[in-house]
Amino acid sequence: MKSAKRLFFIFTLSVAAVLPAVAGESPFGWIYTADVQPPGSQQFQQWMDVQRTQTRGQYNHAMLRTELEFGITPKYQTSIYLNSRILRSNQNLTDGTSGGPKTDIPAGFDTTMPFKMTRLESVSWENLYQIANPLVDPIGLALYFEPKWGPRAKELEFKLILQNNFLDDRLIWATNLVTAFEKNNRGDAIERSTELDLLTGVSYRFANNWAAGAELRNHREFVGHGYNTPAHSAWFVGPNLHYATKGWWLTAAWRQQLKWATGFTDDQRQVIQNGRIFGDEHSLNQFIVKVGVPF
Amino acid sequence: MAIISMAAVGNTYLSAEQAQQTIFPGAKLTKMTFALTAEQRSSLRSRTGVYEPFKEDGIWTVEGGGFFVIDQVVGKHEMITYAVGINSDGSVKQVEILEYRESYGYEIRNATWRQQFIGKTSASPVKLNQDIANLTGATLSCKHVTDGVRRVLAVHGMALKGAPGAAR
Repeated sequence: MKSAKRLFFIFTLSVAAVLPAVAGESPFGWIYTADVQPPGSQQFQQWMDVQRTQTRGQYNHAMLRTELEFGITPKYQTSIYLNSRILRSNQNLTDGTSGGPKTDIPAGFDTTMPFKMTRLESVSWENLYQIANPLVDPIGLALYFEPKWGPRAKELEFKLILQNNFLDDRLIWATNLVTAFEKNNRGDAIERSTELDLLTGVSYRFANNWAAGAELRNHREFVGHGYNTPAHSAWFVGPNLHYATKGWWLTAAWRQQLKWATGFTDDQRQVIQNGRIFGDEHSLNQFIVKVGVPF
Repeated sequence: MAIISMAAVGNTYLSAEQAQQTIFPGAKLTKMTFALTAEQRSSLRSRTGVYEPFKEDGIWTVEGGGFFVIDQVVGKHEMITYAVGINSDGSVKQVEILEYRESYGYEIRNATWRQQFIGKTSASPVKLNQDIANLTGATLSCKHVTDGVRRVLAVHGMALKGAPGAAR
């Protein structure tokens, strides 16, 4: 059974490597824009989002997203994607044990030993509806809804996307207000949480085919479903770089956690070190590479 | 549509000479030496909203009256090169797309869309979704080419119609 799963995983990644990945072209790493895929067109996208480094030891978590996106109407696009991940942690927590964000370590595992995990995680259905077009309206506005389902992770995510373009649309400012209701298995336990993120950034096309900019994220997490019991707040900032031609595009971005983390419970305060929150929550660095092929 | 898709592989649809002969068949064209003043450039930017510098070395006078102008505007990934033929009365004779290298939006080469510009003058709005209809899936290209044609007409109204070499 285990080898069957592994074969299926390798097959999926192989397919992802040869097909074009899906999701709208974006010059940002993590920020969505209010643009919509033209109706009748499709795009393939492959994302690799890597979290790296906690307080000590080793922590590497690569989240892979293989997506196919469809422009349905001038205002609506949808996509389906497959989420999978590869995780390696080794004595990365403050007490010298192995763990960290999204580890889902089975009950009874000796956490003094290195932990490795590779698995297909979930499927997502992304929906984006454009209310105002950033190219012709005073400000771009889009709404986003995405259910995610997997055997050990379920999520409902909502986004409010704002965008304004300047200087012949070479300069793009985009802001996302994101909330997500999550239900994740952690070993034998089930963890419910609510996320509230504010992301904002700019991207400037400084030469033909090339754009660069920066992104800022404030992440707030709440215990359970709702906004009554705050858990922590963390800040991230970093640059992005985008290259695009008519046949394909690539975006790479990096963001680092700032020393502005706040823990609202004793548990959360215990995993803050030097102003940054680690534990089961965040890493020091996060990198993303996205490749898209319209067809 | 099939012709457009096949041609899209090449990205360059017309050379300057081909565009000249398409818009002004058989006419003799003479390249102008032309330069806007700093004040004119500033005025042009505020009047048209286009930041990409106007190509001042892309203007020809047409024997018997009129101008042929090649300019560039910003595309999604690269520049869009287009040509505008201007009649001796200052109205648009024809618009042609010379180079286009984008993932989408090749429909701006359709004659029916480009025909909307015929007869426009510097007094016309020449604005997308106002007197120029948009094409679904090609909004950025439609917007920038429309803004570009408006700028060419503004250049004509501002400096070309009285320029040396212009037919009276």
